[in-house]
Amino acid sequence: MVFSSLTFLYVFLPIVLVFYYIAPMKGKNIIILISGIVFFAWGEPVYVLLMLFTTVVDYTAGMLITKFDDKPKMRTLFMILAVCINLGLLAVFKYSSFLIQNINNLFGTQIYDPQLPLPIGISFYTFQSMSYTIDLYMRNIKVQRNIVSYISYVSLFPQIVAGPIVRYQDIANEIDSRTITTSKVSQGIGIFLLGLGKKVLLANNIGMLWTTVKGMEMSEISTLTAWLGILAFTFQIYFDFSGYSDMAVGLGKMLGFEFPQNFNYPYLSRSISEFWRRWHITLGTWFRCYVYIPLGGNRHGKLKTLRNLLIVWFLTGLWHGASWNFIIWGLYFGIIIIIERVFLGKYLEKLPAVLSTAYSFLLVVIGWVIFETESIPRIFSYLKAMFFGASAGLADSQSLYFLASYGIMFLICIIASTDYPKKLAERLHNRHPKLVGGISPIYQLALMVASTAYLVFATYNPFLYFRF
Amino acid sequence: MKPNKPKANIIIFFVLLLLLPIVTIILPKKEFSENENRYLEEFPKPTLSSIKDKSFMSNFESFFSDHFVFREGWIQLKNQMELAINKKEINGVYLTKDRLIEHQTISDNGLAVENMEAINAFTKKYGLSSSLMIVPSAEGIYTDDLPANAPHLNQKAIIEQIYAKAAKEVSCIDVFTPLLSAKKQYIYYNTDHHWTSLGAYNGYFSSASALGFSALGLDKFNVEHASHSFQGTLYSKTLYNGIEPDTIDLYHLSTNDPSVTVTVKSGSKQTEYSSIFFRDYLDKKDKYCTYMGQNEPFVSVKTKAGNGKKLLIVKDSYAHSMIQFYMHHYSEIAMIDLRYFTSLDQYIDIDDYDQVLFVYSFASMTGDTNIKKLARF
Repeated sequence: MVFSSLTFLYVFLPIVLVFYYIAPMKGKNIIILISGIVFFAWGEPVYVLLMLFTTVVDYTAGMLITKFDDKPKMRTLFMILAVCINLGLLAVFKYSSFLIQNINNLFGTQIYDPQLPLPIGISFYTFQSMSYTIDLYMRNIKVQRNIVSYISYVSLFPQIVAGPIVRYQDIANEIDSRTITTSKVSQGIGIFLLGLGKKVLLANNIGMLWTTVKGMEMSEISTLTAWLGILAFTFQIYFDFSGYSDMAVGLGKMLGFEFPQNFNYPYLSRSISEFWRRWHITLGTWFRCYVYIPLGGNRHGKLKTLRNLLIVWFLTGLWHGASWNFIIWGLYFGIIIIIERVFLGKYLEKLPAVLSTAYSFLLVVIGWVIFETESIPRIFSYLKAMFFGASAGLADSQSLYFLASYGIMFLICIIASTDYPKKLAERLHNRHPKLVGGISPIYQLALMVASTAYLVFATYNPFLYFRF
Repeated sequence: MKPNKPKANIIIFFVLLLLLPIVTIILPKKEFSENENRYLEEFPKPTLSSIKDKSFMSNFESFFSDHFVFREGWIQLKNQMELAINKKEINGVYLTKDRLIEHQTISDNGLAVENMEAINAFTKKYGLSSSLMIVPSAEGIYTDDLPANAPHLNQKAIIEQIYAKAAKEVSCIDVFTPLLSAKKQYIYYNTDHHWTSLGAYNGYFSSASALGFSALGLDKFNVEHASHSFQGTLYSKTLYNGIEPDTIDLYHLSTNDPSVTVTVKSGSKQTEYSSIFFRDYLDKKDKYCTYMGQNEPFVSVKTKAGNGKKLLIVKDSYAHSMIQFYMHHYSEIAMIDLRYFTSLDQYIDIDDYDQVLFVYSFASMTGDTNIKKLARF
């Protein structure tokens, strides 16, 4: 199930919240467990078993690691076993086709490709569940003996399919005892509706432009169209992903959880290193805690640091999808970050904010071309259209029409991706707290009504025999 | 703010969250959506297999959204928001000041020529007097009304390119030029993709020399405004309320409906009517069907013209509103819709007819894969 659907918003959510709020504290985890399984099974009625299997593996590993607390070798064995099962399942279900195709291409072999469909959210829940076993092994957290609590943690519906990647240590205290207050619920509703608006009103709409441009022949794409298209995607992916994270954080608060922040106005970054501290923060944290630092981080000389960085960015790329363009995309950022570390960073700090923000934004936009284009030759021809001219010219009537149709939308997206609206609201709140207190619920109502209107429209399917 | 005082946004959120689904459940369910021209989803039965293949889930989502409370109101609200941010295109329809204009695209570039060649082959095989009329869509005529820089095809040039491939035995009728000069008049519906009776009159008038009769002047006809509340397919696609409903005009030589025998054949079913105007449709959604009803495989009109001439029209629905004019020049007119044909003699004996007229809209000529069948008949 996805958050941005009428079924989630007006069937699943009201039912779950009503039961959740009337259930006694002890029963609330059962509601979370059942709702999480239904939520997941709605999209993956078969793979839900796979998800539960992963959960049981890590739960069991946790129990065994605790049982053999004084036998380091046994502890290590169980940790490695659990990690191997986790990564093994991820490899089989997400990467086997990619691997087999590449081996077949490279060696001319004919290994059978089962083409397993990708289970929704496998990259997210696997990383979450794994974090528990590893943290337990590293003695960062206490064991969870209650299997209901453990499955509730992994299958917590706000975050199971699209993050943020909530590590067990983030909510270890809340999973067994949490308080639900009206101010938390009220805050949660605000964050949730803001996220819903980001996803439905901004991402889906500006995304329509990218869908159109992506489907055009390269020969029809003028320079202006190329820029408008990839900028549309730049905003689409940000509002889509951060909107989804906001919805998760908001729902979490409604249920009494505090999830970590996942986005912090990434397009305002003044370097690529900073961008990755503001974009998909929980993924960056995960790779730092469980890959970069265990590999030695930057404590073993320049060469090892370089190696560690390249490994992390290769994996970051690969995590996003089983395709070469994602790997190139990850390494692209890895290389830029290395360059920034070696010398560029010093200069960026001295540049005026406008220039360093533009530098970072431009490199991110180029990154999205790589991210969104599976065909490597098309990546180059698209970049050529952007920077070195296109066969369709600098601008054509098509691109002017796009500009007229989406100009206001772009303006809204630009403003909404900065922190100015937030700062303005805070300033107003300080000066006129009553006014803002009165406007804010009306603003939230407007977001909910407008999002509902767009969600209803998306299901309107005129079936007209037009042609005859 | 006092602690634990219920906050306004909590109340608003939960009222909407609970009220909308409850009202949706309570309200009686519509079975059919006229604007979408489809049956709405019924509540699906959960079975092990329908859950496993996810059909239960997707059918449930369709069921819930199909019956969502104030469904069309939400869509109209969304349209207003789109217009507010300068978006003037909904579901492939441009919203312009005076009218809704459907955007035409061509997905298969070779198809129009294939269709033309099939018409050539058919004409040569049967040796009939043959004419072709490709009717542009409103987008071809009202290019100036489209939003600035809106992409659109040059329909005049494309029609000319197709006509250039016509065999010499096929007379090609230029209806683009007369329609363009009549663009200030009511020649296309503002909420439907068809031409009006007046548009069809222009088609009829332009075809006279190719078909060999002298067309009746417009002043000879009495115009009956049979309905002022026609909201057509383009309205249905957009649910945009900014355009007034259309008028259905019926053209008579006398004040009464002319006495004719209309025969509709579909499979083994045969029905007869006594008027070319199917007035029952004036009270229904698709009022364009007032002209000769819906698309049927075979419809014939026997008139009192008394000249013994017989015309075969191979067509899409654009031809329907032309019958009110052609009926004064032929003793019998038969219309066939190739969609329902696998061979010609299913419904007609080609030797019965003196002339054949092909009437296709721009969209059909460039996009209908049934016209090709003519090459095999």
